[in-house]
Amino acid sequence: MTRTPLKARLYERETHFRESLDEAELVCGPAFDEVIRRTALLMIKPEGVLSGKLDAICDFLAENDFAIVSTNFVTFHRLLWRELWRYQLTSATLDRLLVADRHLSAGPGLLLVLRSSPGHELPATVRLTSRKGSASLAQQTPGTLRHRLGQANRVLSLLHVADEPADLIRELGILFDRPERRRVYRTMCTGRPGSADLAALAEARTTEPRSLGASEALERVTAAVRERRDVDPVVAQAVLADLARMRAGERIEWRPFEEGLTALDVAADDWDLIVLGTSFIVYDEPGASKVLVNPDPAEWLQPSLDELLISG
Amino acid sequence: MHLEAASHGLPDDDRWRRLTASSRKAEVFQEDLYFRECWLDTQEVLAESGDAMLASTALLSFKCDGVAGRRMHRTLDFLADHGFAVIGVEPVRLNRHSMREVWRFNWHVYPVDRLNLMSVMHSASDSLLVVLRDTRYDGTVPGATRLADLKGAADPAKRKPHELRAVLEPPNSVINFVHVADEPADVVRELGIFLDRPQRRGLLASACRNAADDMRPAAQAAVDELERRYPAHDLDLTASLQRLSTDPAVSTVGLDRVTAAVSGGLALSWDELVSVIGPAGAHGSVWDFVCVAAAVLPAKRESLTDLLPAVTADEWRAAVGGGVR
Repeated sequence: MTRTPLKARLYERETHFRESLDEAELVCGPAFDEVIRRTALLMIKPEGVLSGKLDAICDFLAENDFAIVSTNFVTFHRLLWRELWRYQLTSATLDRLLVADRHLSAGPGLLLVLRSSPGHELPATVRLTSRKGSASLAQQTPGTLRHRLGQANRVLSLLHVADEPADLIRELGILFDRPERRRVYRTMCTGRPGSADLAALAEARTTEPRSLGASEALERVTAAVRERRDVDPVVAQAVLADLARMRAGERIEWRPFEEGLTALDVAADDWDLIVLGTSFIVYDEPGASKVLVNPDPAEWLQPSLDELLISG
Repeated sequence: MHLEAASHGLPDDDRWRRLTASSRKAEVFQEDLYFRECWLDTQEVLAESGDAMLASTALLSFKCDGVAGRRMHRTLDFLADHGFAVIGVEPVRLNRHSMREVWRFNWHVYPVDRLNLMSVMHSASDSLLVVLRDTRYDGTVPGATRLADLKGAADPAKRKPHELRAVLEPPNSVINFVHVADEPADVVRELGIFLDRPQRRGLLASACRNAADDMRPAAQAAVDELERRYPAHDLDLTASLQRLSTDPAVSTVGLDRVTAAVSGGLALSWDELVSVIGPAGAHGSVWDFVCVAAAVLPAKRESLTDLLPAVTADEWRAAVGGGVR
């Protein structure tokens, strides 16, 4: 399920992972290994749904032999997304967490459970991870999904995938309660989407796409601040100074900026603030690191320790 | 300059010594999102009174069985008798994620079936979070730790008669009515889990304002309101089995099997139990289901211990002058 020994040690004591694994073994029975190997998970994040990326994602999936077998709209409440990215957010600044509270609660995400044909060298999760591309714009290579979609900044990364089979199991444990998890595992076994799954896809396609450009967001928020009359000039100046820094491409402290907007009672669009926050804050605490990083797919082309022991 | 200003500091070594007597806990909480976020809130909202306030503050939350089992007034009386003044009251409701986060360092010992039971028990109703000031704070043992010691052991054999869990008379080792934060570091982390940012900042600010008062009447009124909304339950295993036996939808053969497991001390699986008396609340009360489940589900996985064992008042006294252990 993983080629990362630390991941195995961490997940084996996690409630969500253990509960989901128990359910998967029960529902899939003898087909467990094959079902888990052939299944991948892709979450279209709220900004991906909002900016109308579904069709481009579906095209990419079809071209790469991933069929959609189950769909769910997901509401990201604060405990859910902190748990989902627990081992990566250890490097995040508190500004990033605060902006993420606004960002991830702004609309639903759409979870796609995918099935790959048999015969691929890599498990479906690992194969999808290797073709997804980096969240960091500078490291994106042509042909990867993220490169094709185009994203506004590192945080508005449009989609998330489960990296390895162990993550697929853990994430289904976090995202769904027991009855829904059981339904998803059953659908994974049959490989056929139900009518509710198809309806969610159709509904997501009705979203009117919205631009996530930072310069437009800056213009609109600046105009909204300037429209405010009879306000504390010191606060207004501080907020406008932060907006000027953002225009110059500098990073700002989010908390005082947000408090300033609240004090001025600025009627800014939520997604404009999300675009500014995710574009112009400091993302990582200096010196802090992630507990788990993306595994190298090449690890999966080597025999696992178990396989070596068996063949030896 | 702004880049550096955006990173918010964690406690320094001196502060960690005031927050926990466990160096392992300090290490783990440095990476804990809920601790980090709420730590900043305590610094901003409590400002210079923060250290003194966290040292004398205790945090108690009622579990849903405390609501149904009508142990809340008795608990408030116990707290007043032992020198804990109420300085904050907040309605809370746990969900699947928040309960697993509160008990992240304990629940890895539970089998999956027991986790299913926890999901049912801890989300059965709204409940209450109570912030307390230790009026007998001695300058060494934090209020949270004095209360955690007074709460008593989860294991009935280790409880002393004056301890809260003995006073509340739990019917078994699964139901115990209250949860308390062990140390100031846990107070910070748990406020970050139970409450979202505006709520916890509001509660911290009002607790700071009310530090000299006793909000016991407000807590009592909140308890009355919960008891008005949720029916009482006796949490009695025999009575629960009796009530289930009168439900025509419960199979007699199935219930005989469950009753035999209860009398013989045998384990049943979650699915076996649910096939007879479940899902929880389908037959009789949710609490009838819980009482029976607590008697027959396997309690623990073997050879595992808490990841962050509770720290006692004696350990705090020993740590004075000796640094973090």
